[in-house]
Amino acid sequence: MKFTVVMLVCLSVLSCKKEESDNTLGTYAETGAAIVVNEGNYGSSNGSVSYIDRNGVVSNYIYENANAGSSLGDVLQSYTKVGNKGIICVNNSFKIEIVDARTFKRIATIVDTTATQNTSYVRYALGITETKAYVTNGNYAGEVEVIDLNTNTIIKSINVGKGPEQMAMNGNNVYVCNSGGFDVDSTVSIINASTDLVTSTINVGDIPTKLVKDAQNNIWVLCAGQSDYSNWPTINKLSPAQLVRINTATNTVDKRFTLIDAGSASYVVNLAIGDNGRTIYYSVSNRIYSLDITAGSLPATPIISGRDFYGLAASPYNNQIWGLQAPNFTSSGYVFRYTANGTLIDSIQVGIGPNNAIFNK
Amino acid sequence: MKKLKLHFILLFVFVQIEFASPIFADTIPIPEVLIQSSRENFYSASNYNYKIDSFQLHYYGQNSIADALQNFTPVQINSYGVGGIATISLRGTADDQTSVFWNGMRINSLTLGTMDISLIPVNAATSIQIVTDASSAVLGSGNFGGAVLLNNTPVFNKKIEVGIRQDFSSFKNFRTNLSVNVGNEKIQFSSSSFYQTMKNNFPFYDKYKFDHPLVLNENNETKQWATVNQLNVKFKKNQLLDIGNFTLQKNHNIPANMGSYGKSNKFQDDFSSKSFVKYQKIFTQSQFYIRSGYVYDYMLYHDSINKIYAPYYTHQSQNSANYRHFFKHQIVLDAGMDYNVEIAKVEEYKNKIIRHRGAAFAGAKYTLKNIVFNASVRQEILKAGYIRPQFGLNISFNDKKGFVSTSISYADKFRLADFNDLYWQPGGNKNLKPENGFTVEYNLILKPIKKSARYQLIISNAVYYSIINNNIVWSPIVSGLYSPQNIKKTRHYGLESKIENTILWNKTNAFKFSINYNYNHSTIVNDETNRSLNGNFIRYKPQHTIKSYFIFEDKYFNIGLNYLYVGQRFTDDENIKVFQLKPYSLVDLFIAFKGNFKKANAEFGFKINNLFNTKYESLRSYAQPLRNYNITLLINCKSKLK
Repeated sequence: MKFTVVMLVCLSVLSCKKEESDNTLGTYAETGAAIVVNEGNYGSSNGSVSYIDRNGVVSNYIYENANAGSSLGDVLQSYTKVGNKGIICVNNSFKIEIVDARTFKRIATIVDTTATQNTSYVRYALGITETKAYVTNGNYAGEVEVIDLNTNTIIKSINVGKGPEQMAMNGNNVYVCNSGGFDVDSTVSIINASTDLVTSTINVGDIPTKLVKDAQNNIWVLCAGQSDYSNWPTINKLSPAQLVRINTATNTVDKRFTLIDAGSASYVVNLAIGDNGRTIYYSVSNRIYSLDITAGSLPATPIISGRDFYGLAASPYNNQIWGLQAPNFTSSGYVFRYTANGTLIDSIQVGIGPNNAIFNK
Repeated sequence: MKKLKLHFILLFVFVQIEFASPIFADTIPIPEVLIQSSRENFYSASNYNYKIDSFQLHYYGQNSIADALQNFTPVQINSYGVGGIATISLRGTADDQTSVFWNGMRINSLTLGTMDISLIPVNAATSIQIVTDASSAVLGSGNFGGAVLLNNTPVFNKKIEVGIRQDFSSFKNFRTNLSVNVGNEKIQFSSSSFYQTMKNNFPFYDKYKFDHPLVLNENNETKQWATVNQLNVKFKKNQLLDIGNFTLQKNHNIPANMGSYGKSNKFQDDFSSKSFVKYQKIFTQSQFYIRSGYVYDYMLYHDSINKIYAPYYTHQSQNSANYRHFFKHQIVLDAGMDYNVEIAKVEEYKNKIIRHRGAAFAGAKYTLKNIVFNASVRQEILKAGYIRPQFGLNISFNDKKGFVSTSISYADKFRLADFNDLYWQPGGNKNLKPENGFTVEYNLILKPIKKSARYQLIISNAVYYSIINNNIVWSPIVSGLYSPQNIKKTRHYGLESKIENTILWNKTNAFKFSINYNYNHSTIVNDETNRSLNGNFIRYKPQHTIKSYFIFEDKYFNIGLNYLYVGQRFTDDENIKVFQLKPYSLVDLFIAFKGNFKKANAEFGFKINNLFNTKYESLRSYAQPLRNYNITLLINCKSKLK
């Protein structure tokens, strides 16, 4: 009996372990600094946020550090700063985290566990006002959720196309690209931000995934086109990948560039805008091109080539181009920083699976 | 409630089969006179092996063999939660680099390469053995970490045994097991079946949610049944025919990961049927056997939210023949061949896949006084490409008094790519090379106390060193698209140390204590896509594990305690500290009261799992239960046939 007691005491001592945590807090809202969104590995709940200041000094895992080691979640899709708040869409955790954009301390978690499941596939957020934001949701039927940032609740749900992704706002109109999600779509929905009603839907091209607003207040949409993998390892584009411009005065497509023809084995993923909205950056396979928004034709020569980026961003602060590389999803990713003409400056190690960098304004 | 009633009805309608196992009984002895050791066992016999005895299976047998393997052998179980998938790995290797054999047939998934050990109930085998330095020369593809050999070995005597076992566990986990064993000196039939339902809605602290709330694990129900049947017939005095079948069905809901606020609508159905026929004949100076097996696996993964409906169908025909000759001067030679046909029908492969492969085998064993030399070679014959001959060598020494036994071995190893690696579209890579490498191992077993019926002490140590080249890893090739590539070289070395102490006071009182410490150092030697990872630890592989237990047996009760310590593990190749899993310790306690009658015995067992309510993760963000309980009722009837 004595032996048993001794054993139990020994075992319970062995099971005690020291807690380790780094609780250094930072100020993460500095103008020109960037928040890097690291998706993490699907199913591993290791999405994270990195902060890169204007001097290129990186702080990784800032959410964990600010919140006593709490995990942010599984597949961190996007970050959006609205006033002093940050909206983080955590796709496979079915939630929206609201943080203080200055400290990254958690303020609230928005979830919908009811039958409507309005946080079942959250993707991107857009600030409408300092107290109101939109969040896209859904991999088949899609919605835009209206968030009240005073109460941190979903107050309304707007039906849009399938698989809604990024949004941009011009005046009172919000443009939502409907990528199709796990299906196919080829439209952009326009929502009146005052009434929260869809006012029109524009056909742009297959699989519109990303959009940006330029200096002339027009919207550029990257349409990835459909791909056929049935003859793998040959990838065959079933429909062209396109870059289209929506004229916001008429809400019609007034410019259309074909980036990849149907039948090609190339692919497009990335779109960013820099130079105060005058230069568009896009990628075709492992090449990045720059396009003046007034250009009549596509450039023949890439400004960067040889690296396959998972995300692309352009700094409004110093016109740098940032390529985000995820070598795999079981180790850290990197931010490669380039000058506006494509000269490599350096690379910075960030979290796992970086997909975007958002510059503080 | 209806399910509970069903379990009670099953309990009292049937009469029991599964006899309360005698303490410390090892696996059922093989009558060497007739039964020829299979090639797998014969050429693994002098190595440092682990066996799970029936006593250990008895107390860790509520769900599958996973718990027993985890607690009593160096095996690492990667559990996706109670009732969920549990894969197996050894010595820091990946979970598709350890093979599981059932009566000589490799039963790992043809599509994934892994073995879901949660699909193997304890009644699937009467003997479970871990072969740590399993050479590809003997066992073929996929044994870098080692192999788990599950066998059903008949014992020919006149008897009829019937038993029933009922387990009631926490979280509405009910299991009814019925066994029948009947036979005489010439024919033997055994049958064991179970039916199990699990709600598995256990509470856990969700550390991936802010403030770590206590929540219930939802959508985690499991329903499964299995039946294992075997017929063994002796013809004359030198021929034996074995026929066996193991069929299982499991329907499992897949819960959401920790941290998720969504309701999971995923489920997985598995159906598997494995059969074999083995004919053996023993001559004056030789033995011969031929074995033919068939493995059918069906798996359906269904995700209603993301509209995924993915059925997998695979068929494997595994055939083997072996001839053994006993020469003068203690020389034994083996020659054998294997021929397998593997068929997969998976929608993502686009086409039905059929693969034929064969192998030729030769082995030799030479005994010189106390030293045994053991050599084997295998040539794999495969249309897809050439694999060089695989060699296995072993020299062992056993001193006459039984104080010391020691051995050193070298084993070539290879692993063919899984079908998903080769044929999954998009991504599959038909140009993958097989993984290859070797293991060197040294073992020393000391029995410092003279063999005594009352007291035994065994000290076992093994050190090993392995290299694996061309590790297959799925990596992004174009944005958002993955493909498997041969990109990693890994190194694994370590120490396994075990002390076993047994004291027998009298015929009914016994005490056994065992402690097993494992040190493993598994690192990336070279990652061709990311050299900065070189030298990092392989994810999910603990450097330190301790497994210990003590058992006290009395005429009327058994009491035991089990301790498991798993050291810190990294969850990514970068070894990021923020995401590492902390070490944890688990303690289980059990007590069983026994009643022995003339032709029957009965047992009432009570077990507390995770006694100290430890919060732990086997895999990152997969929930595990806190303290939970199990009650076992056994009734066994045994009668000698006249």
